[in-house]
Amino acid sequence: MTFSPTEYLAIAACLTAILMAGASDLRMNLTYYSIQTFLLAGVTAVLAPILKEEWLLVLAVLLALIKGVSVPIFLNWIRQKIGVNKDIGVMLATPLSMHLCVVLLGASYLFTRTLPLAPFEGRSWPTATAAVSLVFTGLVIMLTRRIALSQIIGFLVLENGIYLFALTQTSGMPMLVEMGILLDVLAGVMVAGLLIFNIQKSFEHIDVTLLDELKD
Amino acid sequence: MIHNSLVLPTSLVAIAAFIWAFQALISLLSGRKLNQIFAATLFGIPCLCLIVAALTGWNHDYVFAAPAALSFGHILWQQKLDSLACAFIGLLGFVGLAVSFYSPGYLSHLKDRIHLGQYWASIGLFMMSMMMVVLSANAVTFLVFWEIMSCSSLALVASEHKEHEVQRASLIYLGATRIATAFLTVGFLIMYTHFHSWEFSAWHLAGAHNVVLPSILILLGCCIKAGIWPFHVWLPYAHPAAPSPVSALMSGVMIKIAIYAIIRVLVGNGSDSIVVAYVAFGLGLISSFWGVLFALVQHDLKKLLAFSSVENVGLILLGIGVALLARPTGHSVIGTLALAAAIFHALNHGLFKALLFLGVGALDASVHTRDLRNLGGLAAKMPWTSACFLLGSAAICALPPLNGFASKWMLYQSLFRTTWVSSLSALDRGVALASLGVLGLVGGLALATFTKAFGIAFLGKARSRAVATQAHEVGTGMKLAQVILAVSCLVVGLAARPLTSQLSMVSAGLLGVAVSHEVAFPIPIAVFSLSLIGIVLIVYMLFLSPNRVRRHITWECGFGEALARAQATSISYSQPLARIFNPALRSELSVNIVGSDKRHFPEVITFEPELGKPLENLVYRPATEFIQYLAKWFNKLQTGSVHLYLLYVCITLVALLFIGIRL
Amino acid sequence: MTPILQWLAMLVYLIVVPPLVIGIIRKTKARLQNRVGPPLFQFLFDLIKLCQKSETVSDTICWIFRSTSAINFAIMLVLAVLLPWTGFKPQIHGADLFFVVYAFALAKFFTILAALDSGSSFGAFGSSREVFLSALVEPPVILSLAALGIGVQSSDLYQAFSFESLSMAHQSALWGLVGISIVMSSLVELSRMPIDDPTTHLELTMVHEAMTIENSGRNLALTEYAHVLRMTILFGLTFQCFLHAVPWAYTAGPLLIGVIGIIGVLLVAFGVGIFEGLAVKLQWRKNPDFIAYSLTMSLLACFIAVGGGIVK
Repeated sequence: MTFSPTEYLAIAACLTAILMAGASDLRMNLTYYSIQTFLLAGVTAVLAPILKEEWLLVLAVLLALIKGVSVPIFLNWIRQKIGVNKDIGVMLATPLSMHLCVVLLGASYLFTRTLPLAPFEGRSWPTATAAVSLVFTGLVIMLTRRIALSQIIGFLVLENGIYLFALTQTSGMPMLVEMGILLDVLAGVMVAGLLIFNIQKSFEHIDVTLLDELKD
Repeated sequence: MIHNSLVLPTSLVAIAAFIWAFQALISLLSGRKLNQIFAATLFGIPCLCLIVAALTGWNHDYVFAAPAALSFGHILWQQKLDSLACAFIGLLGFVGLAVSFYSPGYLSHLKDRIHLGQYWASIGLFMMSMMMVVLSANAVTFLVFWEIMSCSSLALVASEHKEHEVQRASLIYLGATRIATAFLTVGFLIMYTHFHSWEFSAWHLAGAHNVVLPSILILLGCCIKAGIWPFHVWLPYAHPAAPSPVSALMSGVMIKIAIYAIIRVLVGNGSDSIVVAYVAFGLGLISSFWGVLFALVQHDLKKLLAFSSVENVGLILLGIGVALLARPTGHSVIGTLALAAAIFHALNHGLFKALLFLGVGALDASVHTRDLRNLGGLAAKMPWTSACFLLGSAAICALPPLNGFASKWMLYQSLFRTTWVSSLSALDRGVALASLGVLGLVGGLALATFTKAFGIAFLGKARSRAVATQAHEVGTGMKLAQVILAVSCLVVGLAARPLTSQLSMVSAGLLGVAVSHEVAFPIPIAVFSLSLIGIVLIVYMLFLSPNRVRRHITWECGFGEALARAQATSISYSQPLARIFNPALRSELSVNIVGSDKRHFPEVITFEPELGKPLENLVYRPATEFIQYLAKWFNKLQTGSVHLYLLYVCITLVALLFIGIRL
Repeated sequence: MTPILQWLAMLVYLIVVPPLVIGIIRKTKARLQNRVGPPLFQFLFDLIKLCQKSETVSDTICWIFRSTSAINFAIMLVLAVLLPWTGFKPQIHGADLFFVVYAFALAKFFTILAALDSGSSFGAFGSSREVFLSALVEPPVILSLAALGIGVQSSDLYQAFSFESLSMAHQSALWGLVGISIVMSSLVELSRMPIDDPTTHLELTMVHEAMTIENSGRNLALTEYAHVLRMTILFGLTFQCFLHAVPWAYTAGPLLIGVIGIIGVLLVAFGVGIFEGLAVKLQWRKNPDFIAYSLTMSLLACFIAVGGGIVK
């Protein structure tokens, strides 16, 4: 099986997500996330001359800077302030959730075989598989982690997957929409980070399984 | 070739049946004064007859019926002897022969606790009924002898009936056999209404409609008897409670009779239902994992072996499931390979499991305990038993060049070939790959279990004074039985290639496909073992032996000779693995501290690891309690009043009259 | 190459390469720790010294203890001749995938029993951990080798690793993943870092050293040689996997491949040495996580092997 560079980068991003699912160290998670985002920026950059949209290069640079550099740095700062390092899973042990993500990779492969994909450069089943698998992996991370910070990271992976799917299966969303999404993500992450900080101050922990003591 | 006359194999079978029946009668009449050697000889001669019959009847097909006077109503007592039946009665005869050598010595240790006449009568009937079940050609004969088999094995399980454990075990076993027979009977009845014949060969399941329900019922009935998850709960009670030769026969042969029934009724008649195949595949896979996992954490050697039987019969059913799946899709090589693997593993498991049970029995006879917490250091005092047990353990871990490896290789190969076929769906290939991974894990866990069983029981130092002083090698008969079985494991392993080709012809015939020479055992096992033994001998003789050796105590960090109780126990050996699989095992630690101040001045600390048995406590116990509740509720109808009973009779009469008029 | 030359080359390899492998690992680790380190062939000198010493055996043992080293040595020798761990074609074809896995299991069986034989608790701890690791690492090993076998439609490892099976020529991702999985599984099976530090002899952490703690003299020499031979074979298989990932290798001549194969084994040893110098030993409870990564790699390899067939 030989792939084009776009497909290699997308599959590499998907593999880093799977490795992220198996890492219980929060710093490793953030590192994997930034590697993933750089790979997706690479996909965007490689697709720019093919789809003949020059602003995609700008988008790639912005993606790398904002989602690849500043978001992980910010979340790392929050993590240091709170003082958590590890996240043991809930419901599933961390290695088992990694195996579940591999099984879901297979499932997403079977699923994308049934999608009607017109043959277009960049619009192919490997990238669709990678995108759907990123979505599934993000969901698994959100479902099996107990630290609120991991839930944010899972959501970010999910968002990466949706971005990849939109980029490769359509001819890219309009520039304004993409910029808007980037800004939203940045703002959302900052707000969420600060909220986590406040939760930690009020409850002395950010373990979401213990948050059900809020109900009466 | 079908003969209807008395030729050598069939006459041998008839002679065997008569001698066993005669032995049962004599034993019943003699009671406790029965001469052991005489009984064992009477028991062993039919076994020899069966072995000869199996060898001479191979590749032939015989059908014979008893005279009309002995038939069941208007249903003939029909028997059929073909290659598949030959394989199973060969196994029965061989294991029976070993048991006949073994029994006199073993029973002399049990003399006070069991009634010898009852034992020999039951075991004679047991063997005869097992042989008749394998040879049955129609459903009624099958059921009659199946029932005799269940009842005689029940009598054997309950031999030491004064023990509370044994009583409980026999009741559980009784319940299991009743339910199994019920399922089988209903399945056979539905098949009869469908095909209008009781004969197995008349049930052409290929392409028939509405045979899924009876097939599932027959499969489930046989699964209960074979000890497949989730119906396996009776096995760990019944097999340890029975005397060791009986456990060897039950675990080695009787379970395989249930598998034989599945092969004969479902596979041989061309069942192409996907539901049946997937149920067999799934249950087999789960049983193999569940069985070996629970075997790992047992400290009673017989319970360990019982759970290991669950694992192996799961592997056999897995092979049958693959064969059932392969046939409708036309992949004949995979199907033949899988079915041959299943039959071969059934035979091999019979051999090495019987060997292991007889070894544990020898241990029991020698030191009167089977608990790994008390055993140890027996290899020096019981060299023959330990060598045979080592061979049995190596065989069950599927290590080359023994027979366990050959059959497991074929099973692996059939699953592996499924992944090559690109025309199968990705889901099928993925499931086959996943089961390859699960089988790898099962193999690793089996290695853990049997290194534990052999290592803790036979190696090191004895963990209790009683074992240290009482251990002695067992008598000639018991030794001979174990050696026969051990040598057979080795021989079957070395002769895997010709045996595999014979069995592949049998399985091709059962599946109705042409024999392919792709179904073979290509590994040069004999060359490998010869070169291995050669190198070992050369190295040992030239290099290791001439060296000066000084004997000293085991290294204990300079603290002096360590206590025997400071060695690893069976729980500590299996703890790392058991901890990982705790969600399935649910082991709990019950700690009991006695003392004036529990925390600061404890006097006696007892701690006992227990397995929370999820299947028993969450499924079977509520089910039996519900049935008891229903029974108590119905009890209200029985008030003891004569008038009420007469009223019941009147109401029933009126209702029947009413129905009779309306219809 | 003529058969005689091939057998001679194999003999030379078996004497020279295993000591070099372990020597390179120790030397690399030493240089990373700013020490001089032992000479490269120190292992060979150690073996010779051990052969001249007398043996002390425990008085609790039976025949299993005294013969296990010979059995291990014999099995590793047979496997070294069968497996395609160098680039050369082996003279004897018998390297079936399941046979190889279970031959390794036979060696482990006897090693574990020999450790239990002396009744020492160290040996029992080592055996219990070894059996834990080998049970968990069997699925990754079987699945990764099975992924290769699917490509050539055979369970014969020689065919999978041969440079004449052109169906496996451009499957770089598959070979890469299988290589990573095999090297991780080898580190687990050989109980090297990060599973267990082979230089510390703490009874709470030893796996292989605990099982050989009662061995001495010639017995120990044979056992250690068998262990290092197993290491060499597994590292050789790893390098072969990475070599097959390079499509150029399929067009190179057999002599060049053979030479590169041996250099590659030493390269893998060098890499492992660097890894051991930098890595931290995992907590025992975390070992299954490491093995889980190996299983993930082999699952991905299987996915590619099965999926690739469907794509074509």
